Amino acid sequence: MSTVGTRAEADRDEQEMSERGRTVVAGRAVERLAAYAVTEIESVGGSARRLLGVTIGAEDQDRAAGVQARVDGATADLDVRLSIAYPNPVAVTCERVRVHLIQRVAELAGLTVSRVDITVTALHAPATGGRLQ
Amino acid sequence: MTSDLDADLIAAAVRAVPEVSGLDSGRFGDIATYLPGRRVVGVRIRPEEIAIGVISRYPASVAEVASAVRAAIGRGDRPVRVAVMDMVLPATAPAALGRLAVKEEHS
Repeated sequence: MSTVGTRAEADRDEQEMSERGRTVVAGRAVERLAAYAVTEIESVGGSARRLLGVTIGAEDQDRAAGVQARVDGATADLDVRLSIAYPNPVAVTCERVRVHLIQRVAELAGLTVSRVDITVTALHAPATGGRLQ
Repeated sequence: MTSDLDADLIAAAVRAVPEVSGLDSGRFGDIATYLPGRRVVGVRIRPEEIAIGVISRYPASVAEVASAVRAAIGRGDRPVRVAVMDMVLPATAPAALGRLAVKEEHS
């Protein structure tokens, strides 16, 4: 079937273009799914939020990782801030996160991840299983 | 006539899709239909295309959401553009940045 000249503009990447219309994914959706996918890796936690360079809150396993995503057509760049539980090797863990994110974003958002920049903001204590409130 | 499409009906059909958590008017608020006195968010009907802005539910992939939305609308006479603007995560997700994590862990 041909798409009878639906918009000649070639400026936008035609990702998942079908004869039934195109599908686009917003950066915010990719950010959410990536932030959740990061926590599927053991020993990786979130990152405290920083406002004008000042840390707010704690670097914690229970927190979501901070992800910024730039979606350009069918590809996405990710910028991830996370923390790692202390005795785990940073490089190996980051690589696992990278591989996992590329896979999850591809299968859930249908985007090719071209780059994953990871900032490890802290090494947190291993999860102790229970905290006094 | 086929040219008379009801934005409310389309919005209701899309909202009923299990993979869809809600409708969204897009980054610039331009995916919407203006009716007398109100606005239907997330649906824009044009002669050449129907645009739908949705918020999906997490484990559903964007491809699944898009095809479910197209099936729900069920009109083959023009392309349906689906924009996934945001995603709702399961309740077990860690607290969002800037919010306190209140999590009960079994000891």
